[in-house]
Amino acid sequence: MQSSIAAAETVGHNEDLLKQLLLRLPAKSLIRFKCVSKLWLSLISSPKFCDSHTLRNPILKFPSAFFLSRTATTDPQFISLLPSTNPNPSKPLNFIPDPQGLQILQSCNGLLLCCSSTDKFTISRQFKFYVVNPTTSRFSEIALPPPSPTKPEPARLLSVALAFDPSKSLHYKLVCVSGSGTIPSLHLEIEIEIYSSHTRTWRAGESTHMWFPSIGKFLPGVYCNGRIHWLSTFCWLVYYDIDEEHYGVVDELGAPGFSVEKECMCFGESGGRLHLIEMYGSGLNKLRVLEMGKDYSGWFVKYRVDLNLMTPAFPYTPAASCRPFFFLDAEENEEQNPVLVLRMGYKFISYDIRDKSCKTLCDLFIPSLVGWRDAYQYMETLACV
Amino acid sequence: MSTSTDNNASITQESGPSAAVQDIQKKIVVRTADGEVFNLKEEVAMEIDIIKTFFQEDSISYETVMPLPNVEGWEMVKVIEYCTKHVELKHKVDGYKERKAFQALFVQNLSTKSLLALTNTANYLEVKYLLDFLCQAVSEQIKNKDVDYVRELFGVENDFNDEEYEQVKAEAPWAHENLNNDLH
Repeated sequence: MQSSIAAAETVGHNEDLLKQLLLRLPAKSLIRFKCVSKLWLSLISSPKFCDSHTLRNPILKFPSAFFLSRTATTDPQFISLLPSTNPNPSKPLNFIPDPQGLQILQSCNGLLLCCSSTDKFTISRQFKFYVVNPTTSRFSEIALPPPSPTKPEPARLLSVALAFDPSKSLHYKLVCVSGSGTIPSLHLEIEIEIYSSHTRTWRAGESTHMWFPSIGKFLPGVYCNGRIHWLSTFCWLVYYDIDEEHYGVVDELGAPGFSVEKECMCFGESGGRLHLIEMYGSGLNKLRVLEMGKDYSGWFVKYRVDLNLMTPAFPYTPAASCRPFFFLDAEENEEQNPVLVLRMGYKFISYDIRDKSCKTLCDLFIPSLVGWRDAYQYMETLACV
Repeated sequence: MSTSTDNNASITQESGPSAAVQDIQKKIVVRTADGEVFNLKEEVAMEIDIIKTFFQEDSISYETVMPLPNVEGWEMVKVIEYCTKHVELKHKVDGYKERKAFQALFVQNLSTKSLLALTNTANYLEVKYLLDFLCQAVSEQIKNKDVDYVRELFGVENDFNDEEYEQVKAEAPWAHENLNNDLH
């Protein structure tokens, strides 16, 4: 069919028609097809196209991979969650030129919030912050606004968090929380500032005299359903509502609280709900996933995992070297099963909660039991930063 | 459902008075680039915007044979097939499964290049839902293919020099890994 060849070529050069086709491709394919020709490169790279694609393609609920950050070095490692011939494709973040190196602070619907710092806990206002799209290798550098000169006491930087939800808006926001007050006091003078990627400016948000789950150290936030949440060991849950611009505390509701039996709490979000992963039991050989009920009704135990059941697959691994990193939720009717990603000794594994099966994701070549700080989910997106 | 060329004998507009009687089965006639002539039921023809515009807005008599110089005979067959099914399913309450089964069969024996040609045709003829479906079908087939395949399929020339190409590729080498070229 000679004519069909000619027709195929017509599509290749008909920009509007080509765009309609390209909009339906997943992000990874599009990034690859940038190499087809100069026309395709300019089409796919255009912000307008990226915006349309982001709106059209809901963020995949399950991440395809995750970044693992260490304290000692500054290069996050990229680990795939999907079966692939190359288990560890390199996806460095070295397209961001910062001599200090980069710390990932938070992952939110495909975008990463990073900071030029070698240590996640000593972060100050002078540091540069970056909102990064690792799929498109693009980033935006954002400086925090200087502290207001009128305050008698310098406010400590408590958190900077990213709010991005393409189902609501193509633009992202940064929430900067500063607090001042004497350390023994439970309440701080909290000041909140908001950055919008739409206006590219900061403006003052709420000021309140309230409690915050961290007195002096930087605490990253977790975005869930239009709000940034903060939680730490002792604590009540606090949140900042992005749309209503309101800071709130979720009162005592079976607050996890401090307990010598419990360790290693991971706080995160999956499937639009907040989760906590706790290790407990004698020898810390049990693990449970807690979910926050609707309207902050309370934490309830969703899954229990007995780590001892995993040990046949893994030779004796001292409990101290088991550490959960994150939990991916899935509904009963979905193809995907709920999965826990954890470190067992020298391996990173994903544990399928329904099948009760383990899969090794990667071997940690450097047998160091400390230093693997946090994992940040990776979802493909063409979202503009 | 008139889809084959041997319907020439059944063109009804030749007999004047009985044409009015045939109102229930008004047909619209089109001729494709290769000379094939098709009789379409009016309700199917009206799914194709370019035909609809030609006859309705310009008040051209249905006796006219509309030329479609950019469409091949085999393409018209497929378009009519899809639109006819679409009209049929419009009146069904729960046609989801049937539609899916039909769509799977529809693309079964078509090469990706043919699908692409059909996409072009659907765009020209202005049948939105068919265009949407075909774009989706093509993207499913090409999403795991490599750059060379795509260039060949679309007949696009590589206008990068070696250095430029490597530069673009180096931004995201991971995107070129783990492809399943042999799936289709």
